[in-house]
Amino acid sequence: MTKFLLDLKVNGRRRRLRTRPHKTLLEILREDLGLTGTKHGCELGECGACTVLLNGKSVYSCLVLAPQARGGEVLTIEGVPPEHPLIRAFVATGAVQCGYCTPGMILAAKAFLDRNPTQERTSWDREALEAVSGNLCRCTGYAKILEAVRVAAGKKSRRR
Amino acid sequence: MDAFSKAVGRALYADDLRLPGMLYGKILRSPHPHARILSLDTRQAESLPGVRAVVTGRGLPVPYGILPVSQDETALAMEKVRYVGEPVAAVAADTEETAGRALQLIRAEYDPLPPVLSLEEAIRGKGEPVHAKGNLHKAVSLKFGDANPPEEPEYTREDAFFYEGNTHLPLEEHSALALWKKGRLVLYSSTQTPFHLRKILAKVFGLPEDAVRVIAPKVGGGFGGKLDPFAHDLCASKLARDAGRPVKITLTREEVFYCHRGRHPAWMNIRTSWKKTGELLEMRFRSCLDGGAYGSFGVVCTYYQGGLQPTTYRIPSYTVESARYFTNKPPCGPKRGHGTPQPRFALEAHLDKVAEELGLGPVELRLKNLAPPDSTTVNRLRVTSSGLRECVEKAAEASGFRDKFRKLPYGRGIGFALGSYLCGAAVPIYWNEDPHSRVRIRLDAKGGITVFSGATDIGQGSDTVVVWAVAEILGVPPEKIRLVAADTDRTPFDLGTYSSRVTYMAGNAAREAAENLLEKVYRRTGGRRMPFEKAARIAVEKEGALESWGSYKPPLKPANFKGSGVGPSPAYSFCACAAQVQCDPRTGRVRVERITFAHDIGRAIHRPSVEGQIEGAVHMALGEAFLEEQTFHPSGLHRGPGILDYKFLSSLEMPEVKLILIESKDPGGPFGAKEVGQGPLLPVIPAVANAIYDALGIRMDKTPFTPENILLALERKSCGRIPRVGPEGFPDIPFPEPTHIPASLPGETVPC
Amino acid sequence: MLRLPAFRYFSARNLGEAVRMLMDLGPEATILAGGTDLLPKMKRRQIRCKALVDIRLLKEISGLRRTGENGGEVHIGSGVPLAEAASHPLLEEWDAVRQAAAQVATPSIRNAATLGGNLCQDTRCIFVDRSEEWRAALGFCLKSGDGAVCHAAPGADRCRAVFSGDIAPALMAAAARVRLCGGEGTRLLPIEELYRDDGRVGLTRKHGEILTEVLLDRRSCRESVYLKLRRRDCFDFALLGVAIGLLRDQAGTVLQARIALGGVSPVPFLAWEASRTLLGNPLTPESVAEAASICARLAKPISNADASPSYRKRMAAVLVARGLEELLRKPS
Repeated sequence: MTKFLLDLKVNGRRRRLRTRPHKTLLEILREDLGLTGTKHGCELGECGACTVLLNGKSVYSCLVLAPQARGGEVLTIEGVPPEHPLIRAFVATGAVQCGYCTPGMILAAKAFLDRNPTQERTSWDREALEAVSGNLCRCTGYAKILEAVRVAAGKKSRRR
Repeated sequence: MDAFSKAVGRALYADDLRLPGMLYGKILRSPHPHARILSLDTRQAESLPGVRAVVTGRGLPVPYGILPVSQDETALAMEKVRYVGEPVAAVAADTEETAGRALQLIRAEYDPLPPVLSLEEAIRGKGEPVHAKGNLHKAVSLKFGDANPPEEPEYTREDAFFYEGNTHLPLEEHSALALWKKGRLVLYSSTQTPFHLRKILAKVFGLPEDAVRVIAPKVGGGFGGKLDPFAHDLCASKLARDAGRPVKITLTREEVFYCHRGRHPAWMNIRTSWKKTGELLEMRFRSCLDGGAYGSFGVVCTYYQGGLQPTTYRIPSYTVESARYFTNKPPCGPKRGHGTPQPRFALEAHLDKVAEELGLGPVELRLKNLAPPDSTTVNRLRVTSSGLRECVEKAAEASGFRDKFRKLPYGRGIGFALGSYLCGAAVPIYWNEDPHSRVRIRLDAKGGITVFSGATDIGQGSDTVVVWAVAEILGVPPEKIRLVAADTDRTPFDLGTYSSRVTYMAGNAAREAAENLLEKVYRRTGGRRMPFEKAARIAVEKEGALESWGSYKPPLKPANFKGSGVGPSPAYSFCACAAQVQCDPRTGRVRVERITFAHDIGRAIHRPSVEGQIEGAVHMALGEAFLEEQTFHPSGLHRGPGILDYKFLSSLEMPEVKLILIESKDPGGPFGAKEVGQGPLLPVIPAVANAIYDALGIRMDKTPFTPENILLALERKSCGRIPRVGPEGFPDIPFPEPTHIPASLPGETVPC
Repeated sequence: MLRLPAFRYFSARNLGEAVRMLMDLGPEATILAGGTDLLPKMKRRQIRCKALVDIRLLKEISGLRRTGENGGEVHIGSGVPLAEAASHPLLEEWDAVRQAAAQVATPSIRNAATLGGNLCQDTRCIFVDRSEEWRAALGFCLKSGDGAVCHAAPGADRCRAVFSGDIAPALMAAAARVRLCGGEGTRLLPIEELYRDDGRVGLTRKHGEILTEVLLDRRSCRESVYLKLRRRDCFDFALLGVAIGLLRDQAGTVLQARIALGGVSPVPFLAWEASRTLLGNPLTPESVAEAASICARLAKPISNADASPSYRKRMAAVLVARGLEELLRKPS
């Protein structure tokens, strides 16, 4: 099938590459652009490991067709500054075990925090958990992940 | 330790690796659960443009298995296929799509045989057995302690339980990348045991072990599912050799379900006798495992069915009968807890029923019968440090158990259970006298410290433990230490990540290596007191780089009976758990409100890692309790080989977990530390079952505790029938006469 | 890695172009919107199409607007993502629709999945939503290939794969209509007429037709609720979906009632026999129980989902009762 020119921004940089319409954004990122920080656990949109931000919204890159990303702005884990509060918090609270869900988890959490700078409301914890509900983790039991999101938002740590 | 590199996406897992000229491999799998292979024609596949190599069973005929006693697998099926998904052929091609098309061109002809798909069918033995020797893989029959109970029993009770099979589901799909360099095989694999894998690759390829190098990159979860050597490891290696180019095979999620090696379905029966005042006199534990098509770690799992009950309770007279049967399903093997979660579920739920009939509280009954610290169990296991009593008391207190038990309104309930696990098997898979872990530290000419350890971090934090141990002894910040791990060329021997051995064994080896380095360095400073970094600079100025070694071998010899190799450990962790639930009697859904968990960690080396392991184990346990089941259709097909179908808890179902760490300071553990990777899974499932009984008055004697089964039990209750869901009795299995191992003979020294 | 098969890709710039493309390419072309239902099925080779016509750029299917006297009518473009629908102020009066949208899958899916896509999703079955190798091993069936058997209901002569979408029952409870635009013009239908009781081809939409918008009328329903039965609180499709829409007067007398059930048959359907019994009186515990029990009788699931048919059937009564009780408790 014919190739087409895909023109998009990835982590703030303009990228142009010739690819085919049946490639997913996941494959473009990992295989064409060498950005292996975005992981895959199922390739069917059932686990969240491949989460990236597309135009500021969290999506499963395994379900985004290359042409659908045309002209879009993609943020992968490689594009999140290492000093970002979420990265620091995930490392400090012990929310990273095997690390495989971590890139997708951080991006889902980032999308949430970008929309919800700290606001005191009792539903905040529940909303944070819902924001990452689409990212499965087999190692941590989510407790420290929620803790990391709280810390990154500037909320007081719950740990005794 | 590597949390930062993982959090910024720089950590490399096997599928992230790529090499110039790399080919993509794919595996053709059997569509039949049981069939003879009549023919396999790969000619069309071989001539497809872009295909560089094809291999079938004949190409890798040397049998292997993770256990010396179960060398019953070949990389690709030969003559017979024994489960749907069993690897039959493999191809390597320029692109993954071409490899996929090549698989479709392979003509495979089968002669289907009637499949054996359940324990009942395996035991009945109709039709051709799964293996030539028959469906019965292993039968264990042991009697420990007194031939008769020490006193006349005043009360006896017998219960049956069933624990459904389930799987590890690590988030990273298995992946292996192989290349050959001047006659040497180099394999990058998402594995928990690079050294075992090296041994098996050497065996299958007929090479000396030093002609094989296995490297574990970052591993995205294992839980026991990446311990066995797999077809993709062997086929990638073979295809790479034949094609003369590197070959990578990454499995799809569905294929991971066919690798399996997960929790054995277990049908169990437990009978105990007691004094009316609650002293346990005698226990008979029977278990029957559905092993799937091959041995894997199954023999060890069979022994573990009866192995750890005595580490938590004094059992004067103890009989164990356990068996494993082959069936035409993906092989079962080691999953977190390794053959102990099923019996722990049965034991702790049974104790609850006993307590109720004897009129004793569940906590009280347990406290009366706890195995004490510094003792030898009836099955000859040496227990040293034990914070079990404190765990029980603290968990009961912190959860408010005694105030809530039988006092919460209908639908809400609280349940209790405890557990114990090894800190590494004292006996290695291959019996020898070598150390189980070795660690090397190199102090280079500039005073930089590099630690070389063969232990594999699969997310449980073993890298952190090893580095921390060295940092603590040397008195330097951990950030200043470089770690090289899990590479059979560069790092010294380590048995691998399983049976919760790494903190204890690699941690001890690291500690010893650091102590040796300290001694070497300070010898060169004339014994003057100064900070390590200064002393190190002086030492290397004089002599250039320095090296030190440390090792660990458990100071135990197993007792002298068959099966004694399973169970002994230099130490055991202990834990206790209270689960509080809210049940909806109209929908059958259960919400776990809170888990209160006390764990005897010995000494917490890195607290966030310890907590993370407990929280993760609780998460996995709740998955096994409510959602996870690996079940099969009558056609032999896996009912749901995908992450949407095979469910585990999302962030929304996880309860609050309240943690209490008890530090019993084990004398043999590094800095007193013990394990935490597997033990915490054990008591959660029975605690939840006991809580459901407290809430609704129904016994869930079979996992998972689905809404359908909860409603079924409630229906039985309202009809005046026994309010439970679970099996009855136990199948008729030809156990051999039990080997009797008395507690001790006069003049015999207890092993230590 | 699971990858897609190759196909031709076209991006339509307007509705007319989209329709023309679909007609020219023929039945082997499919509409692409969010792709969250289509792509997994294409990766598993359940759906085979040679061409995709991407309609996301179409202005005609975007956004929400109010029209009609007193702004009593709301139009929702079929291209609106579910995340937007779940919290859109223009949908404030239609709780069931917002609740349904909010409970689909996960946040990342909801950001991409569209209203139209959710309404037009393919039916589901545990014997069909599987890889090609799995289905070939079992034997292709009435839906999964050119097979002539049904693995869920042996002996069945027609496919009973389940419609599991959440928005459709919610829209049925709100008496919504949908607009279809195609080569032969536009037609407006009550949402229930979009579906046919056939697991193989569950939509009455003709090839070349595009569902462009949903119309809600404030006069048909004032109070509504959507309840979803599933094992987990995210990811999972509905094992049963119950949507209730009521119109009551000041005294609480039920003037209009609509109860829609999804997830138990190839079509989402209105349980008229049940909702009829509520008319003309205020809700009482007895009338609630009766309506709930009729719904359980009308639900006839088979063994093609991740929970037993008897459980889903029984839960129909439980969820209908809960939904009605929830509406009772709300201040009118």
